[in-house]
Amino acid sequence: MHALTVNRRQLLRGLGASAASLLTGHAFGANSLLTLLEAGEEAPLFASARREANGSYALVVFTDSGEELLKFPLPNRGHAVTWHRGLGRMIAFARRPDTFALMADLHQTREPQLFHAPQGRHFYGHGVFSHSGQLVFAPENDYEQARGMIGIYDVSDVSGASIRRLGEFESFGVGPHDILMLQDGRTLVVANGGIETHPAKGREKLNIGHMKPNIALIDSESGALIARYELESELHKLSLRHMGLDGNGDVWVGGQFQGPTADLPPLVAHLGRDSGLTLLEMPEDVATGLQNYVGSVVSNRSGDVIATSCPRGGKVLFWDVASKSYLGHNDVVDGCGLAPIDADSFLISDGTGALRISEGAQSYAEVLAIATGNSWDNHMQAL
Amino acid sequence: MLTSCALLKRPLIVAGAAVLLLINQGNAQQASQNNKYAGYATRVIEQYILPKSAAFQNDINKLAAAAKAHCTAPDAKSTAAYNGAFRNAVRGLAHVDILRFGPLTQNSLAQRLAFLPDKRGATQRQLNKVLAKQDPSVTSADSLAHKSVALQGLVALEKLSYDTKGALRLGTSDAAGAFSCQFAIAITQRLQQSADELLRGWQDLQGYRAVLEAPSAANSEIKTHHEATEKIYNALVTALIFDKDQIVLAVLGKSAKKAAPHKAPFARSGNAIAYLQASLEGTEQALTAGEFTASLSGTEIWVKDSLAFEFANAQRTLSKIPQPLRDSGRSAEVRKQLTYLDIVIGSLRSTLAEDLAGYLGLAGGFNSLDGD
Repeated sequence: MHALTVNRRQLLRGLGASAASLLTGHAFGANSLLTLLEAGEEAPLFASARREANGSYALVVFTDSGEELLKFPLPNRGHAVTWHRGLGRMIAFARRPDTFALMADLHQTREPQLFHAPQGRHFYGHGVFSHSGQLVFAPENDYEQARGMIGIYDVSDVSGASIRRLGEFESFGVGPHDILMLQDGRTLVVANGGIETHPAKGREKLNIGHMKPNIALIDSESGALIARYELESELHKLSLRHMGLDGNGDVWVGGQFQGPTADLPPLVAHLGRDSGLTLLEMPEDVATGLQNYVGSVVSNRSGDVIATSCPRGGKVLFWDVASKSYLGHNDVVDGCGLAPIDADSFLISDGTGALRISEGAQSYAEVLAIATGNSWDNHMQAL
Repeated sequence: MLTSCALLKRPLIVAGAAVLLLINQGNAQQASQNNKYAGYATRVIEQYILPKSAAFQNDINKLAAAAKAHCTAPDAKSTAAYNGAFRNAVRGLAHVDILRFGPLTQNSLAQRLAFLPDKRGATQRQLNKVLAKQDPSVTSADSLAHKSVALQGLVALEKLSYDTKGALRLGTSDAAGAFSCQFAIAITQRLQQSADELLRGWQDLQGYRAVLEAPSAANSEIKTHHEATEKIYNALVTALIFDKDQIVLAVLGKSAKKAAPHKAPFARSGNAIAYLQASLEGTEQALTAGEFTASLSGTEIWVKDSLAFEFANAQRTLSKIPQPLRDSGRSAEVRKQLTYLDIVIGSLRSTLAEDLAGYLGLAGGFNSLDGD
């Protein structure tokens, strides 16, 4: 796994006038363009949705030192970004229960495309490209039937004239949230959070008493269920929400517990195809402050350490892939977005606008940049 | 004579604005009877933001004058004057750069005033290039305005003015010295433009003040007095987070071996402690100006005493640290003080973000509060 690094001079030379004007028209301004031109060195790139200082929302492409290369306005609050490296395309999905998604092209061969979930569906903030980049799979809520669906979108039209919804299949659970494509390029993993919501009731949770989250493996070609992993019944209120892949291609899951706040259930699980779901322990003094909430789950580029962000507890936890055990944590107030910078280190974004570098629990998370007045949204994508 | 006229003008302008502000305050007080959150923004703006922005502008004006004087006739007196003016400007900056909303967030103003943080060393890299080719475009404020923001503020001026031992190196009589002086003067003039922009941004009654003081459902950023209060309050909490994470922890490192006192903002010029002192002082003063603890009663009163106690603790701890921090920061004794300071600032943050915010009904945390 390698980060996409671009020579910024080349990138900017390659950018059309529209991209340049996007940059100069926004907060970082013309000066940023000059900064980038003068810096002229390779830097890893990232994308994230963000709330701007003026209250609007945007999808931003930036370097690890916070230099903003591209910014696309979003109609409302975004959530996660999915990325296809080969095609240089990314899609930012609306935070639930909104219905928009924006596909942007890093190479600027076409204008950003806004598209929507159909009538009777809304997005959950996540999606994933097929390996070819021709299709996108997006968890959706069929809220009248209270069932999770995976919408299939054809994004292959290079002219950008149309993004078509080809169809859908079941997510095999309620409240599908995060979605990953396994390394085989065919198997989708869906975290069915288990929580029923209806847009008429905003973000209200309608079925906590009998929620039943699961992780479903689905054949992306047929839509058939391959396997479904559930928690033991006493943990049925642990909403399985976000996921990341480790270097072995195994799935790591972060949960959000909907039961009594005094309970301290495990929040992080490892899922191997053969071993099933294994819930992992952490020290009680760490667990106590987390408000039973995990945000992002991301691996470093080596694939040997998993980071899980806990914005409500102001901590990022690190896990050893080999031993499946807790390594330690960093303190990051309101930190949620995570992305690998290189083999060992992570970039952490937070609601105060800061970007930090973390080399794991053995050091503290050092502030690299502050996007003054802006708030980075829940998830960050390394490009 | 010119200078004293210019100095006289400013208080008059500020006094003029104050009359308008008093009228405005009257209106706001009326509104506060209807909404318990209505007064916070006005109080913070009038009693903290405006005076501190005006003071910062004054600090920068004095710095510009000191740079000119030192570059014209450098001597021990001009050196001391420049050092003093630079320190005051750093302190003034710390009083206003905690206000991470409104004018400071527009047109990269925060970064133009001081390019912080700069872990990748962008400022030094760009300075090296400019100095190597004696780039003439940095020798006037107007052309500097088109250069990188990293070259336009106090961080660039510090690196240009001081050597790594903290000695003032401006004002040498060779060609390189002359260029550095022209560049330094241009930075101070650009800083004057930026400081002026900050003050004018807050003085404009139709500007960001209106966003905070007259919120409306039609506004995309601030819809209610409650949100306006949260905006200000959370910025002050964030200031503490950055003081702790960006300065104290950066200096401490995870171990004595990894200590990096030179990483603190303005460590080179020997102003790291001054910057941190002023940042904490400003945060406390802004909280006081807003009267955020005035409505506490009964069992909540402890918060007021605790904040006063911990802010005083922080200042006392800082006052014990020998300066410059660049030299003293690796010693076991200073590391002990900084470790304690880390705890104190952490405690201030949690008292504000958890206890006082709870009592006031304010919420913070874009992700923690409202994740998914």
